[in-house]
Amino acid sequence: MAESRSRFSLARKLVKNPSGVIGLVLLACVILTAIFASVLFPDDPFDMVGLPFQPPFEGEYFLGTDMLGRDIAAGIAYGSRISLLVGVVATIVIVVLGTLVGALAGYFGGWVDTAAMRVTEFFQTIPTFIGAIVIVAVLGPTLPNVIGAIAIVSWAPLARLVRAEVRSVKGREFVEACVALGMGDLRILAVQILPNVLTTIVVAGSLMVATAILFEAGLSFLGLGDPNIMSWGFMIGAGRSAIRSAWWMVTIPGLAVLLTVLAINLVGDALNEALNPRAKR
Amino acid sequence: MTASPILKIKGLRTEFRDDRKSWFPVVNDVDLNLCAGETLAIVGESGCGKSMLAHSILQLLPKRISRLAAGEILLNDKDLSKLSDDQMRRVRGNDISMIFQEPMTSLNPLMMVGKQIEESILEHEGCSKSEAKRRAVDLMDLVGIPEAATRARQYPFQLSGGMRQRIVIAIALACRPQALIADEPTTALDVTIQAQVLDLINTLKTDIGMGVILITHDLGVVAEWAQRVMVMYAGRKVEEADVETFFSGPSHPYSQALLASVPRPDAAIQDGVSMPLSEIPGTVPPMNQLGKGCSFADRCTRRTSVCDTSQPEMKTLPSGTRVACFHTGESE
Repeated sequence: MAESRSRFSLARKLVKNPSGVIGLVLLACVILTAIFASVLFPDDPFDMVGLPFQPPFEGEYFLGTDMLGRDIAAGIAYGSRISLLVGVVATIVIVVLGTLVGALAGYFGGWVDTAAMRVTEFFQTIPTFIGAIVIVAVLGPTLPNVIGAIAIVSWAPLARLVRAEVRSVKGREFVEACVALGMGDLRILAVQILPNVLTTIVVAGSLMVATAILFEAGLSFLGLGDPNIMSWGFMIGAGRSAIRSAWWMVTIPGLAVLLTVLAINLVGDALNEALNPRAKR
Repeated sequence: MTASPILKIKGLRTEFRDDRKSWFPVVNDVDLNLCAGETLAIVGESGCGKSMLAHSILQLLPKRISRLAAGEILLNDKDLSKLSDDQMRRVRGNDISMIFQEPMTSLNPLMMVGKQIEESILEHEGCSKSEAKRRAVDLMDLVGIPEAATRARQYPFQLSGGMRQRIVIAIALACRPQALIADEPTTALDVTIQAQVLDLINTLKTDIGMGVILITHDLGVVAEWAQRVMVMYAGRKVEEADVETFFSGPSHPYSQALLASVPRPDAAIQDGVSMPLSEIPGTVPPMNQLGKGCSFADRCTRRTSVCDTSQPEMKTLPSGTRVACFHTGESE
């Protein structure tokens, strides 16, 4: 009962925040587009449907066509699926990996901590985007590889964040009380400490979705995305050569990336404010 | 004290490591017996090793910087100092429980209080979740929380300090331990709540038949609730006595000074002149800089040359009091 009430009040706090509302509405549009992409555009987005170089808002195709006569609106719709998929799956991998390493390092300390932190430092010294490019270039441009590359270069900062939070919660008296009651280490970590760190993980994770989407767009732009999948980055990359004669080919998918990332960041910020006890009331 | 003690500590010595990697004692040569149904108070000023002793018994001190250098901790003739970490974990909460000073912070802020009691039951007893839930509510009833079933679904921030300390006690007593270590359980509470909580511990002690080690620096609490007193100074036991004997005339100069430092409203003004509260000059010496003599010598009014050169032995006085001082029995 109390749980449903607290969830309800979280939703209400999110809605009270104007940037949260804007973010949620934008995000809902993107998610709906992704879900109904195949209903709105039954044809393959790679199909050439009309004349090339048709500008938007004029002809048969609402957002125009690209230099091969593909419907840009269909590309945007199908691209949103990939963006969201990459964002969500990469974030899940990052959160699981980062939380696991960070929690163990923070709780056990000692050599576990030292070892884990040296490993995260190693990953943090690699420039993230270049690291992702190298991994995809070596392993081949497939969707799982792209997601894996994004996760590998991004988990380290989250691990350090979780470690710091776990250490601070571990120093609180109720954890000592649990030890004095004979609870096991892993049980204390999972049942007592992690729920206290969850807020931080949720907020960091929500912002990470946006970063992952940008990474994917960047990789596809450079031609390192899965060539069989229509994605926003790929559309921008393909339209780049015609940027002076057909602005819409680059601008429209660019706007899609911008609005999606903006929406997720707004929701993330609103979540942060709603979950932060110091910002209450 | 006819019953045989449940907890026997012999010559316990706990050491800490300092920066130069040498070891120094924080608890030194402490003997202690605790019988079922008895409250033993441990008193002394801050930094004299009371909490260190409590943490040593449950082995809660960080292994990297501390060690149990000597002595044994016998719980029903089982030596806790020789148990593995896993065996020790089963002793904690099950045979010996501990409650802490701050009821505000010793509960998980994000977990319903009933659930926290259940966790403690589930940890030690393989009963079903619904059984644990039922027992949690029973325990909350036992510690005097009204509408226990409703309260069980509340979070710590919805309860007052006294209520929270009751929950902490319920958690500690969930598995009916034989011994309870209460580390200043009422320091953070106001006096009326303090009396209620101590009364509760006292009642439960008789009901469950456990022994209680009450760590405090409030001598009023000692006089009211304890049967025996142990005074610690600089990691050593300096005096142990029955409460009546202790308050009618402590033997160690440190105990005498402690007792003289208790504010007494009736004695504050004598012959129209207000008397300053007596205090013990100086502070407890740092534990890593103890000399070979009596550690209280610097602050003692009875200091003689022997105090600086050797450690006083524990001796038993005719009253049954045990005291470690060269000069007890001499008139003041």
